[in-house]
Amino acid sequence: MGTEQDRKLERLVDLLAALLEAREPKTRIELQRVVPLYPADDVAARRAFSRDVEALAGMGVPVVVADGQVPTYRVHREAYELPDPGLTEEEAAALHLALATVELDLPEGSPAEALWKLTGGAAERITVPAGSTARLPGHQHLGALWAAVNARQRLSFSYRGEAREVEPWQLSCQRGHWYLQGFDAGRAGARLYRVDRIEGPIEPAGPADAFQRPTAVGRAAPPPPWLLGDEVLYVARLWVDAGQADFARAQGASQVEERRADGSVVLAVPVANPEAFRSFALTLLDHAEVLSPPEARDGVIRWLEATAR
Amino acid sequence: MTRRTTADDRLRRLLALVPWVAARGGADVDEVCVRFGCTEAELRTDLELLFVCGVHPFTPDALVEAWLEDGRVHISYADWFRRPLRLTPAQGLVLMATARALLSVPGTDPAGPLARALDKVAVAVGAEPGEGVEVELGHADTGVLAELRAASATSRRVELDYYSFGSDRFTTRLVDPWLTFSSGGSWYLRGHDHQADEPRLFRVDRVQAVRVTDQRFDRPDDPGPTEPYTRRLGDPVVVLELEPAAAWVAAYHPVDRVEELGEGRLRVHLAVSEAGWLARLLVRLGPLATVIEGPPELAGLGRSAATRLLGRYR
Repeated sequence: MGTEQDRKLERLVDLLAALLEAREPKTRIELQRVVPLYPADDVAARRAFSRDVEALAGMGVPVVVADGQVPTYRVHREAYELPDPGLTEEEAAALHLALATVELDLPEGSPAEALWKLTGGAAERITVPAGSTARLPGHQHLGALWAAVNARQRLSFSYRGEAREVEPWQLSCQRGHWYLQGFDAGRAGARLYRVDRIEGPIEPAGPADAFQRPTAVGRAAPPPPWLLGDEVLYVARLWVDAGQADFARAQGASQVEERRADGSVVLAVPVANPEAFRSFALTLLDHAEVLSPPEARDGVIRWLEATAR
Repeated sequence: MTRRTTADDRLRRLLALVPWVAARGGADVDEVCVRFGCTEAELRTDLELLFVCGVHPFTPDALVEAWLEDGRVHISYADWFRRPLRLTPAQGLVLMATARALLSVPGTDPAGPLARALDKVAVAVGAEPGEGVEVELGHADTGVLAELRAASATSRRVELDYYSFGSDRFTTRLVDPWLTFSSGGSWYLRGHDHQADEPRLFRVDRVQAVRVTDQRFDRPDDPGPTEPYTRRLGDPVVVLELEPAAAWVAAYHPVDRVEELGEGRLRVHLAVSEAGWLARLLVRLGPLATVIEGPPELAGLGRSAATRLLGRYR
């Protein structure tokens, strides 16, 4: 812990106090006048100042930067301050236990820091009850998606090679993947996007509070992977033997068209994503067979021929 | 923590610690150190520094007062920092998602303290209670999962009717259920398998039935990792070349080595626990993957499984 780091910390605290204290936006020069410890050299001072602003913004300080001829800076107190959630000790303990039991690793998502803010940390070591834990997959885009869901702000991103404008309704974690449910403005319909298949950056498109979320979205079960597409192409018939029938249905192919005497079933499976459907059928190995339509069955045969080669 | 503490880390801690201590009119040093994960020396250094912080013109009334005395921390005049900084979006999501995840586990009171905490946190992070995020930890039968969790918590041996995906067979197993965990969207049971006489991993959605016995078991101090697959010594390795459309394999399976071959193609070294698992993977990947190295009994698995399946379709 060198004095260099101490000086930087002191400068950051002073800068943040000055930004919170300011009644109107301040320029860098104005702020440097009231925050000592910036280098005397103007080039070095400018560099140190912009690094400091980045550091504050990086940890979530809502620094409002107005890009005029001379940029100005300000932090609104009501945007900075966490409202007191009024948690009881029992509720705080339940949160600590949840965070100790379920793991979700996100950039800028430190659960320890979140609990410092909400509950002042844990007064004693949290012991997780014997025998149970869970881990959720992380993804770099989740923080930005969640912010837009709450702000009800439209987003633009690329998915399946096409530019999309989406009103983000809800994030859901199902079968080990994160999905975004929302309204695709260009296609004028509700869609589901797998978060790890979103291509490139996610940009806000328009102001906050731009749409209403449908009330039933929370109860909509996310479709299985073979329904992730823009439209249903066909309803496939999939034969599954008795031993695997329940498993196949639990994966989302729930509609039974026919039950046979040996306990096997024929499932009717609507397919929007043929590759995902083929993968599902093949994962069942000898326990399943795609019966129809011919395009789906031929697709499996061609795939197997290419694999057997 | 092996990473060196940075000025940012110290600021994050101070911005949470200062309002907490100030709101209480002081706190025990030991308690502050436990709650905010620091040593007394670190706390002392940061408070001394805070003592000279404030705003222009740095007259005493514009400076924070902070000191350690008789094992107590005192902080006052820190009005800029009267409340903690808001949660980042990622922190808000981590809280909401982990709490919702735990609420989805059988045995958690849906109207208990966690559910109430979740509603309050939702308001504090600007989300709508009960909306915006849904989490499902796994698709297991809730009855089976609840029985396994209860048996694990009360240290009861269980008998399982189990379908092994890896060997493609139904069996009945006697198991000491050490722990249940969810990873990658599936529930797993790790425990001692008495037939095999070694620790084994079971997928809960492959358990057809559970019978709880009245025999007790002793849980080992370290029941093992909560990973769907842990490399066992002597597991064979195959080397695969993957087309770009199959690059997800490197992210979803524990690979020993990944080499970039250019244009999005990858060469991965994949440890194989069971032949049946590799056969499924290779048939799924089809022409997108080529086995370029591996034991002969594994290298031909994709080809032989595909040939066998073609027999059904022709």
